[in-house]
Amino acid sequence: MSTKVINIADDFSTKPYGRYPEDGDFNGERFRNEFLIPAIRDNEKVIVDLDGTRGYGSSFLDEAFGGLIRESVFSFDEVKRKLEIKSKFESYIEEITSYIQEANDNLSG
Amino acid sequence: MVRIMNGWYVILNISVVIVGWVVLYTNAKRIATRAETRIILNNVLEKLNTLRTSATEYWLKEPGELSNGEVVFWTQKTLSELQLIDSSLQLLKRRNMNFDIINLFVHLRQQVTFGCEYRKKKSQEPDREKAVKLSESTHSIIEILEESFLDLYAPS
Repeated sequence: MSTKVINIADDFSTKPYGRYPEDGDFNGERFRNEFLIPAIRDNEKVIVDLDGTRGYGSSFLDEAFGGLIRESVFSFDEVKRKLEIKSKFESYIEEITSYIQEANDNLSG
Repeated sequence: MVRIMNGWYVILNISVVIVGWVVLYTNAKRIATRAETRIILNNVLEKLNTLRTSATEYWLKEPGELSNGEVVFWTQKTLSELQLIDSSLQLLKRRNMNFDIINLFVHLRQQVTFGCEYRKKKSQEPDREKAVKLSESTHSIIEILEESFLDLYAPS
């Protein structure tokens, strides 16, 4: 079983910011398209390590993670099965989980 | 017989001194721990109040009042502060303060940062509702933290 670990601070940026490319270079949409989608597509397990950055805004988290479901890239079950979020801040894990759940609820409802 | 009694008397005296010392030491340690926890808590409360003021002012800005650079600067500064507060909250938990504010904190971060990148747009009117809600969330967090401190260190 292949496992991919993405450390956002090392692999992407220590200052992730914004939702769309017009907000900045290290936005949520870019992270989702260039890092998350290929990793989830090509691996059985993807661990995203959030530690080491200067913080995450809600727009970034929603676009990067909620967008996986909203843009119909993967099913809710696949994301739940493959994606693991790692952080010393439980609040980020909680927030990301809520965006994924909310995106799924909106699609189903 | 007198020698035995003297022996017991000495042991009793030493025991009383040791027990007294342990009581004093434990009490002093508790007072010092309480004071340290209070300092960390005050620091968190101050950061929360500063965040509330800064975020309220930010969301009440008039259209076009903020440049792109100011928006980026404010957002990144605020994200760092939120993370610092989160870190201090964990520290308080490690010091045995018992509270569950994850959902409230997530809510606060959403109210402060969700869509904050778009304040640079001229069409963005002041968001009074958001300002009120984030202020209420901060207030609720402060209240829970104060209560938790009082639960742990009841006033004597």
